[in-house]
Amino acid sequence: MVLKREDVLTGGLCVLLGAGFAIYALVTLKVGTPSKMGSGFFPVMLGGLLAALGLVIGFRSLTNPGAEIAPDEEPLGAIPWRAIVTLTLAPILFAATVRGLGLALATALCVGVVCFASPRMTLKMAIGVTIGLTILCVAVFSFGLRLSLPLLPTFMGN
Amino acid sequence: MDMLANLALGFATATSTEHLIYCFVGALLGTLIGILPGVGPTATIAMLLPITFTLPPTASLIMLAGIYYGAQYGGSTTAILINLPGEASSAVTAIDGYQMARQGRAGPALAIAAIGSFVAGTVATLLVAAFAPILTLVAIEFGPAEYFSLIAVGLVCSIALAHGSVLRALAMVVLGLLLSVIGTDVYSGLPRLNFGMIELSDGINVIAVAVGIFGVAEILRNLGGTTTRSSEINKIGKLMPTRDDLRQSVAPILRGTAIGSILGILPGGGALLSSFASYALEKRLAKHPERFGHGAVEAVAGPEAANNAGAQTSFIPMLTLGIPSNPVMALMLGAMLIQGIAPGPSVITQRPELFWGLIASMWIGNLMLLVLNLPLIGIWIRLLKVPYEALFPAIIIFSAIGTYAINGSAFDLYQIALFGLLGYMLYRLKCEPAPLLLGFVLGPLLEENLRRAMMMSRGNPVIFIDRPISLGLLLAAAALLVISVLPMMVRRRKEIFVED
Repeated sequence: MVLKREDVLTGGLCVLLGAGFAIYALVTLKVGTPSKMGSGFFPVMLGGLLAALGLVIGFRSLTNPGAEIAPDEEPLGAIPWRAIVTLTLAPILFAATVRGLGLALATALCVGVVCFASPRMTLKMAIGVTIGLTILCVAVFSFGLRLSLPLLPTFMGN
Repeated sequence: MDMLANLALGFATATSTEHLIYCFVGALLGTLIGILPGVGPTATIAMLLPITFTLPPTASLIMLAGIYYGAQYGGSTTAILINLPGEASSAVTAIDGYQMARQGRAGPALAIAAIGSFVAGTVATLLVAAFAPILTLVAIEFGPAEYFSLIAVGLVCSIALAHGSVLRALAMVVLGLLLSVIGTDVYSGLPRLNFGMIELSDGINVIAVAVGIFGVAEILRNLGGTTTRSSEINKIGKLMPTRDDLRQSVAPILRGTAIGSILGILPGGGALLSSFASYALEKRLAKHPERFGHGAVEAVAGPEAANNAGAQTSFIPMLTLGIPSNPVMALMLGAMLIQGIAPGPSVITQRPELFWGLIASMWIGNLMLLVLNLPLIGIWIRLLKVPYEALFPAIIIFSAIGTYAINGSAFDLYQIALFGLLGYMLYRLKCEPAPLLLGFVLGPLLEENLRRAMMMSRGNPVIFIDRPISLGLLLAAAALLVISVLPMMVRRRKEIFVED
């Protein structure tokens, strides 16, 4: 029986996160006793549990072939790298620019970047979506909900 | 009758002009989003949650609830018309509803679904009104041990209901719990596990988690997916069901309502399970079960009623015990906390107008959906043609602005990016996000009650099995966990979830 790749990866992730948290909590926090638990007791317990689960998941296909099922065996497809990069970048970009550029420009910038996520997006559509969404967001958030975010760039004065 | 007085208070609250408007807006937004392809209810609520924070608590909860059942409603519309269930609980409706649509009977299918939902909603509202106060009385007697065990049941239920691997779901719950301990220790008030970042002292932002693992990750999934959407939309035809349709639907609707109401109350239960259970029951009771899967009206009526009743009664554990039964309820719970209301048995006594107003608004909202949406269905189906390329940028930017607006914190947006990545990674690894979110929301409660109980018993864990209610709950949790890993049940789960 071979190890299943996604089992190993899931298990590895769980062991990494679980053990990481447990060690971090052990080193920095007081664990205490069951009757007087310190702030580290619960985190260490959970971290240990997650790491143990990770081990079981990782090696399960060795000991118990075929017992677990994965009902949706639809192919996952290729990893959408373009979407991953743009969608991760977009909120960060918005956070970085909204104070300086104001809501309108930051929104346009963020939407513009997001548009690159889909390979099916055409230039015409991207421009339309960017303009439309910027107007919508300014209308809803600035005029509708009266958020106290600056609307225009700071150098243009508000 | 106390119940009548309570309901009267509720209707008085819910029919104030302001609340009627928010109820309407919520139901409308929900329907819209339920119909728009590729936008799930959890992501929607997470996205719109920040917007409701500008409202007073009652209005905000009424609107959020409206979005929730509106989305259920919209989800069944797409299930019937294009065989694309807007959410998991409409998957059953798609089986026979879509077949009815292909036979030119989309109108009656939609009408029966709407009527069934409304009847179920009415009954469930009454049930909530009748049982919530009783449950509250029980809950007041709860000590830390009972609460700990109850939360354990809720978490185990979310594991049992997850698709696929039980072990993975369990790991997701633990991961969610682990993420919830980051920030500040509730007991000492001292910072812990914050990686030296002051921004983390209030813990990870629940909205960022929800937007990330449900919103962003869902978009990544859709953009990377191999499945293409069928663009063919069936004609609706005549809307009115025939007398035969109605006659055949009465009993399934009532049975579905009963099933849904009961399963909805269970922590972790809810809409999904009830629609599957109702479908299975109707098929068993039918004189000609072979019609199922080929456009049987009972198979639309029963599950739709069950689904709606379950959605309605799933508010009971959240409102009375503070235990959310699904990701949407977990977000509602988060909304209440941010609004400064501590969910739990005290809500009903301290904020009766909020509690009863919300319940009454659910009935009113269902009525609005019935009256408004059937005649307007022609407008709604045009939304099906909105390309996904116009939708996903909207989801991202709305989430970003909304989340930023709450605290004005750039850090919250970094969290969205991070949890988007984590969510997609978990999807590739076939791990479900719902148990993670439930674990995350329930983590602080679980820890607090565990520590309190252990302090009371001086470190003796016997306290959890010494007290009868706690013992019963733990036994139930253990039984559920054992059942869901039994090979026989694994097969059953497989059958149920891949039936369509």
